[in-house]
Amino acid sequence: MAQEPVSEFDLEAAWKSAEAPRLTTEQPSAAPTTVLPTPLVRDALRRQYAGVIISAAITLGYLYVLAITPSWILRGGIGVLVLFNVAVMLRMIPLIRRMRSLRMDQPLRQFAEGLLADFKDWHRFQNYWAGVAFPVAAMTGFFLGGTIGAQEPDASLLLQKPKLLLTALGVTLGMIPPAFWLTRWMWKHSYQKDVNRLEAWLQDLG
Amino acid sequence: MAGTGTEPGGLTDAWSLMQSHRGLLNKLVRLYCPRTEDADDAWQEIFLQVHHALPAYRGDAQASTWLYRVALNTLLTMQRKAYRRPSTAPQEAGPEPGHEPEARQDAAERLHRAMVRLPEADRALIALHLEGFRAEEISETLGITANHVNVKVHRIKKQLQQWLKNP
Repeated sequence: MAQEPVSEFDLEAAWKSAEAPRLTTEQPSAAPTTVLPTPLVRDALRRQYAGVIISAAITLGYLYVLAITPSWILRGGIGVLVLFNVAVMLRMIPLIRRMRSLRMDQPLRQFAEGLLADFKDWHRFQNYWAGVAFPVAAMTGFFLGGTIGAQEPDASLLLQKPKLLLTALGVTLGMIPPAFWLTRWMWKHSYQKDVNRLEAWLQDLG
Repeated sequence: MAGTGTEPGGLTDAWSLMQSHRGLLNKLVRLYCPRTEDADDAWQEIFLQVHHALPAYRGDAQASTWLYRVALNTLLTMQRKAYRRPSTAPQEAGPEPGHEPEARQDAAERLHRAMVRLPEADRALIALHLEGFRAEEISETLGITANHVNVKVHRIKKQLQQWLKNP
């Protein structure tokens, strides 16, 4: 290996001569009983807890409508939505568990890769939510509104009207782009910057 | 279980471990958190994470390697600002007000300013290297191969020399 020129800055000496900053730290007398992973993960967990609560609230609302509606079509649609929301909550559990048990003593690369995989997993899930839940909700809302508006006890009447069905389909398809836009917006204002940062670290590590 | 005293994995063990590596830990914290109040928060956060993770430490890595893993992972996930690629312009990371650097400290300060211009992952790598860690130890801390560590160290040093010559 070629010898470095004498004029080179002595990095090692400069590093060793640096005085460590004097931080005003003292040993705490007691530790908190629960220590969650670092701020980035805590924020992610808060968002996921909020997601579980919102899903549970929506499910309760659906169950209420399910209990009072006389229509078998509505019952079917709402049943699908209830199942979907339960699936949402169940799907959140392993994500939350993984994040809560995140090991902080992993090598940096594996740590960043694991966290990134969890965040991307969540992103995929949000996209499924936008692609499935919103259209089903739109169709159910259409039948619910249609039944109530027509003062009919059963929504089967609506099925016999092609124009109405086409309108329902149009509304459903029309809901999908804003649903995806909303999902992207939520992602951008929640996980996106963390994902960018993790990806940058991984890219820097090479 | 959160310890409160001298039992294995308790507060005292975590604190002692950090105190025995205080020099490098503080330098790492300063590399990522130039503001003193942020650095204090980072130190406390690292302490909490070390305390929490210590009972699971099985001695399969050196204590220092283990500690720097926890510290770096904590620092990585502490800063919530949107990630920016390091600019070529010098950043505000000067000495504390009222502390006029001497010649020796001046060199250290110049190096520090150059290091904070590096990408964040590279800062950790070069800090460990300058502290005297072998490529294998850095490899265990960062999770990349020792060969890759050597290649990166060479590149980073070259970059630092360039910046130090032409700030």
